[in-house]
Amino acid sequence: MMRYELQFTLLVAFALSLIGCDEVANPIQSNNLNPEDTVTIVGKRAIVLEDYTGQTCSNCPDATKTAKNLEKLYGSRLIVIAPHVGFFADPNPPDFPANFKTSVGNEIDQFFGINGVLPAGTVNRRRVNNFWKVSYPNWPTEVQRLVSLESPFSMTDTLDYDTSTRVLNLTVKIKVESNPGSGPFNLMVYYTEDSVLSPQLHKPPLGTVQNYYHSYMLRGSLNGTWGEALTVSSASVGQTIAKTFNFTLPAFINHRHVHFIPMVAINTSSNREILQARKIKLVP
Amino acid sequence: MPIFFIRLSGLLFFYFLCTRAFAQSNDSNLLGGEIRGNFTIDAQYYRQDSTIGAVKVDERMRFMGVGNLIYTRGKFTGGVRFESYEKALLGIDQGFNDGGGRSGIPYKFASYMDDNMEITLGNFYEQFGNGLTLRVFEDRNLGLDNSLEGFRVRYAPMKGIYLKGLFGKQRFYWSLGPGIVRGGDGEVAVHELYEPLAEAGWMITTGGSFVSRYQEDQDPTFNFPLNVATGAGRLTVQKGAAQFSGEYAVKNNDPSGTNKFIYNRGRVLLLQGSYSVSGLGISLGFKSADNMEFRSDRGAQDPNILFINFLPALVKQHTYNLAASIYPYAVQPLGEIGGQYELSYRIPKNTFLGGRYGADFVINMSAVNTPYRTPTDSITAEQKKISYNNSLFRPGKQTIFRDYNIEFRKKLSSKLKMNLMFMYTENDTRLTLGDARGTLVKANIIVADFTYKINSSHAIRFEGQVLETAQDQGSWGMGLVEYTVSPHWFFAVLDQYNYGNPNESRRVHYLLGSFGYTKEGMRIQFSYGRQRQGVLCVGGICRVVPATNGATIQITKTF
Repeated sequence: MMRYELQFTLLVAFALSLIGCDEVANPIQSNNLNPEDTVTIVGKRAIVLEDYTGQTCSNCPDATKTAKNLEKLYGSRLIVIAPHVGFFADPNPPDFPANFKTSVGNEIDQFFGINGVLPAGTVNRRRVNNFWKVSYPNWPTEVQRLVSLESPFSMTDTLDYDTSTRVLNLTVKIKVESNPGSGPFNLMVYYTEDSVLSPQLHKPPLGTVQNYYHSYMLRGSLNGTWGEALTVSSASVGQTIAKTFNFTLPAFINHRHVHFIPMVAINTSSNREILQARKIKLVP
Repeated sequence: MPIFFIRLSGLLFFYFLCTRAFAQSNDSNLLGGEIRGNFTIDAQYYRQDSTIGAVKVDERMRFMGVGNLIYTRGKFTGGVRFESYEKALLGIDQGFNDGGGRSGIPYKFASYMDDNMEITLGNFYEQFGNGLTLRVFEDRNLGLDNSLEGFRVRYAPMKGIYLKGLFGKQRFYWSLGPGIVRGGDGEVAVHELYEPLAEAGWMITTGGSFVSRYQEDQDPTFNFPLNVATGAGRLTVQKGAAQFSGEYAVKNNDPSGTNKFIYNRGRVLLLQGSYSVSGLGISLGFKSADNMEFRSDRGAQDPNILFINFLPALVKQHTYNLAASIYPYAVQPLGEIGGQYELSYRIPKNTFLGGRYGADFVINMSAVNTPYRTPTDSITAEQKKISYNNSLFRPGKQTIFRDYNIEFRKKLSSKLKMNLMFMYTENDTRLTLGDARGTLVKANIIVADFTYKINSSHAIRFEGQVLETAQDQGSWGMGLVEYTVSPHWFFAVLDQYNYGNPNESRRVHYLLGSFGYTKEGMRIQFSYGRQRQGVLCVGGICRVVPATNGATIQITKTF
């Protein structure tokens, strides 16, 4: 009997040793992605990375750095939006007097379960392990997962902007390329500002960095947090829907650093996945 | 407030409905087996209070509840746990809300046990050795649940040999983490195998464990190891009043978000020794850890989720309010080296310090530093992302934590007991609390605690505490009066005052009143007032508790 027990124990030990571990000799990938190529792939969907951030979140600059690295890798296939949300985005004078929070940011912060716990993000607002929220070290993995996905929509735009009056006229044209499914679908148009000079807290030993340029800062939406309905169905394949927006850019925003981001997304209570998006520079 | 009382009435009605239903079910007898369990309900009503930074809570009142039901019949045991977060109280991980609040059954299991084997399927908790390779556990105070969902087998092929094997995925709020956890543990109780050893008073146990995590890799920038493993060996020797135990664990390359994707190996060494005879106890401990955070998702960032292993805290677990919750110690699995020493001595009766009843005297000291590290200088190491070299036995210069405390407990008369404590602490809040604007806080804490027994069932307790520091929020004072009517009732009033805050507008009082009732496995506690922002730590794992103003009710029942 003792012999069999010993054999069993050795068998278990052998099974565990098979599981083992992987020693990686070359940690850095030499990938062949070319951002310029990926931009021009017709029918592929853009990837919207929402980088929830805050001026007193000391780990947030690391997350933004990850987003910038991904942007280098994927070019304009990747669109980054940075909503400033929660406790870490609250004005905290004297070092952090600015308020970069927006009603749109507050609403999506709550809806997608970020709840101001930063840094965190969403990738095309897709659920990962049943959660919308994705921690920033996992952003590269989740972005890569979407690179090969196709989109039932494609987008073009025309933009007229008067720099003196700051009035703009934006038309977004959405073409239904293939059967989009049952929907319903919404079109949202957010706008962001880059290079906003304002202090940001970093991890020690840096601490508060006064001359910090905030990137991708969400400033608002042209048509509300969840946008407006797009009436499309399987019968709409081949059709193009145009939506026009007239808007006066607020004076405190530097128009040279503004981008408009139209996004088409599913709009149900449990599914808000972004299926296509585009990034439009206001002043080329 | 009327809405609060309506909701509270509903809550109480639900509670009594549940407990009565089970009370009437034929003394917990069901289908020839036995059913047992417990309920806990926490509810909090929030008021906005800008003076203390208590934010507006849209729901005004939040509820959390948990109920365990365990059915046992012969060799079979099965159970479920129902949890409800409508929504999680502030300070508890808001991920449990799953958006707008969530209820469900995240924990269920069935287990069969015969003489030498136990098989569990479903959810379970487990620990290998000291937990250096694996400890999956739950702590409701921390809002932490790292349970595994899968299979576990425990097997004792013969007396003195104990084996465990398991696999599964860890709980991730209402879902499961991405990594698959596999592991095994073997322990040999040498004194059980060789009885003359036990007869000579020796107890010798040795063991080893191995845990591996599989997680897919789609990252476009790094080549991640798909299988990351950790292994440990341990030994415990006890003879008479003396005991020694040690465990050493290593982990292969495990680049993760928290270690900034370095490919260094991880290591941890834990050594503990103690000697205890009547009236005297001495214990010594040493721990050195480097890059030993091990989770079932390499990208996990949130505190307290998906941890596979656990590094115990070698510091005193304080219970007095100011000592426990303003500058507590949080374990640094990415790197720390430290130790603890404790001497407890019972001063005999009829001596100068002992007096008529004797007295107890405890000295405790702990110190934790960062490890000493030197950057790697070879190109090969840099390419392999081995970012530093270090020694397990050489501390770095940076202090993480110091705690030097002395405690004196004495019965002054047949009715009056006294407990005095002095503590000097240093705490680098940049590391322990993750506060980037923090600093190395140095503080003195004095506690005086007197209990006067009025008669056999009535007692009154007075507690005064002072935390004196020139850093951070400055000095604090605390006073408590607690009246107990045994065995059912207690009433307490507590005030904390941040009298030394450099910002005069924040020198505010945090007044809190509470009472509770306990009877036959049931406890109801109600409190109303301000609660300051603080940190709750259990065993070196911490969560931040935000400032609140309002009413709290907790109901627990065991049956």
